[in-house]
Amino acid sequence: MNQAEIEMPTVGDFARVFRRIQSEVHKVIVGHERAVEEILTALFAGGHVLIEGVPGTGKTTLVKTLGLAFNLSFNRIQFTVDLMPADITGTRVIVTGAEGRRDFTFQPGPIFCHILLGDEINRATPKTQSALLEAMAELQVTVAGKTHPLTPPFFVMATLNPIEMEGTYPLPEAQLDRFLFKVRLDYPGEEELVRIISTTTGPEEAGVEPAFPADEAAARVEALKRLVRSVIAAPAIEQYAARMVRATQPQSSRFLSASQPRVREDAVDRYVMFGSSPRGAQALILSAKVRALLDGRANVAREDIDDVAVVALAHRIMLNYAAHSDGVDARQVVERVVRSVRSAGS
Amino acid sequence: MPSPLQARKAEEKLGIILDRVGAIRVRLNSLAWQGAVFGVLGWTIGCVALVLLAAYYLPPLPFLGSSILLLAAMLYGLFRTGRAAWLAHSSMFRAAELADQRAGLKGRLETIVQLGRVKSSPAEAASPIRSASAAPMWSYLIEDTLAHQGEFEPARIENRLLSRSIYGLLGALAIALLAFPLIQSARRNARHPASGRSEITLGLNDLKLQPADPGSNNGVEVHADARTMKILREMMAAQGLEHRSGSPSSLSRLLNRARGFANKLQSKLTGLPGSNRPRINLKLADAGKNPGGLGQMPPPTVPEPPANNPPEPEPQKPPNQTDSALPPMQQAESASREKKPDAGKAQANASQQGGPGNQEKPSTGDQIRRGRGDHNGSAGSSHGSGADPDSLFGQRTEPHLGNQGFQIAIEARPMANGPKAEGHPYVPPKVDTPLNPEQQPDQPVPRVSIPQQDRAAVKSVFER
Repeated sequence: MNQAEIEMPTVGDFARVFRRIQSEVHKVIVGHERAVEEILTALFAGGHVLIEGVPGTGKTTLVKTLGLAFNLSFNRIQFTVDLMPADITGTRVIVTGAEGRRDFTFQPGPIFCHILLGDEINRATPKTQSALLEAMAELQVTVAGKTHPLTPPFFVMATLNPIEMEGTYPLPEAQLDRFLFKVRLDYPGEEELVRIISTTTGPEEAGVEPAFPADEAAARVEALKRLVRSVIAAPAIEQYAARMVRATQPQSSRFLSASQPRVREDAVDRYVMFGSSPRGAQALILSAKVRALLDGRANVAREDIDDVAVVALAHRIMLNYAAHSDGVDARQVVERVVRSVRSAGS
Repeated sequence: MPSPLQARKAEEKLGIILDRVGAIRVRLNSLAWQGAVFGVLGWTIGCVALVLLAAYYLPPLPFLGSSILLLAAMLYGLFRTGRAAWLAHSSMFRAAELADQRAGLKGRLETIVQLGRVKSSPAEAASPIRSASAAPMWSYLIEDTLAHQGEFEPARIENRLLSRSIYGLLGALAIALLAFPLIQSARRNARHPASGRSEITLGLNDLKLQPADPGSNNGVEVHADARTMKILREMMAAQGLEHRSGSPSSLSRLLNRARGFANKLQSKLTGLPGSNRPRINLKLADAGKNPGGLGQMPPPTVPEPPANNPPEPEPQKPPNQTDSALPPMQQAESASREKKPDAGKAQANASQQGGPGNQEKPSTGDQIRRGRGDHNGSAGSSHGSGADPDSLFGQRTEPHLGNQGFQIAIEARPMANGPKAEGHPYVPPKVDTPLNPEQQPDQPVPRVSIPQQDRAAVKSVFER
């Protein structure tokens, strides 16, 4: 269906669709309420998500279920050391035509879908990992000098296994920065584990009902994404987000303009080597707009930015050795930054 | 594109919200101004009341110190009050932000105020609410906020009509009200000094002369005839105190100046004479027999000397000069001496036989009487005019300090915290005398064990 034919959804529509997809996902995924909400937020904000979790916590199942709930095309790539970029983007192959003429034809790779799961992305070589960069940022792939656009919506969910780090290639900072959120899937609690056992080992599998008809799904999701972007963020709110991102830069950073004041947080000066990029501010505002719509508002509030700050900024800051030796992680640092910026006021 | 009617309705709704925020702002600013006014009044009234109280009840130097402290506290308080009022002063945006926080509106008012006011400015074209995609959201925001209008009533956002700083003002007024009777009482006491003051007679042996410390108010003004002052100076010289009263140090000069300034300030504030330092009138007990005694002495009341500076002796008054130049007390004494020429001698003799502290029969001849110098009454007035130590006390004896045969009338108030009142003994000043070449400095005796042959003897001594 043409996107122009889709009626612009209202604020109420957005919250309704969001809650429905959430409930469909939770028919399969037990627990992880916060993680599911964050992944859906990133999807409607037009971003990509990096999911970190130990094996067996339902990362792949979650992504598959999302694809089913949205009724969007879904592909999965298992990243390995010998995976080549062409295996992701596609390549040109010789095809014999009806007249017997042989031509090079572009054979699209698995990246040509709406929802892409890059499983254990850190097992592939940097060259292969970077093949995702252009697609994630510009929604297109270039093969043999020819650019092929991807069909929106395009949503990448990559998973990372925090253990088994041998033979892996940590994602470069530039690539990490392209993910809107880094979501952590924690090990389930006992009660959740019992529910997982009972729902997955019974005779019947939980069925996921799509939220949209297949032919409308992409257009509907795109309309919802446009609605998100139309949410109003007052200049003071944008300033608040900018102040928060600047506060993640350590005082010693040579990339920080010393003449401009910023909110100082001791933990940042002590533990952070490099702070968030400007993409962090964009991520804050976009995901805060989703939160505002979920709350039935047409305006972004400071609370929305505070809500998404940790998940939007933690993977964008690079910690130093002092942080590693003190056992401080980036989420803790961002939490303290949020407190400092909030208490600094407007 | 909205119709003109829809646009006008949207404007009206926006106006309702902005008016409501404006009312909240007025209320917040009213509280801020009240806070400033009450704070300024509170600090001023409280500090002025305390300064006045200090002026009546504290000696000059403590008064000066406490006044400076109170003034500093008042200035700090005024600065804080002004700063707090300035910070509490609200713009429309600040009022909207506060209303959002208090009503839980999550930035709705803040957004409307910030973006809605852009309309009339040149930045209208760049306003995000003018973009085609955001226009429906703007309408939604207005409608949504109006739906919550009950939550941002001015009375609900800020229910106080009176600033809390009124409590500070009330506290200051309470201090002022408490200070008022105390000040009144102090004024009464100053105008009508307590009558029936007891007279204190002390032996001259007990009289320890010491220049007052520069910063202390325990010193007294000594008033006496030239001869008495001379004897006093001799006594001070005998006690090695004269050098201390010779040339005042820069510190003492500074303190004296400060004391003078504080005295003037106190006088201005209270309308009473400045110094409340005790005055002492000294008179020789044998003045009646001395042709150059008190009767023929220059006026005994000397100008107030600095605390560490004993007054210079008055020039000798010609013998034929009358007592008309004397203060009333001295005139009364002089008159009484003329009437009873022998009374001074009799009392002087009696005072030599009596015990110390006996008011009726002063034993040492030194009578110390409490009271203001101008209201001395009759103490010390019965020993005649003039004094001749050679013939007044019968046979000539070797002069002995403390037994000079004169009376000292002291105007002083007994004080609980004075060194005399606590009965502290006089501690002589430490004197570091250089050793002559034949002297050796003290060396600690080394501790040794008792020799075996002496132990029995030592033991027997201690057993005894």
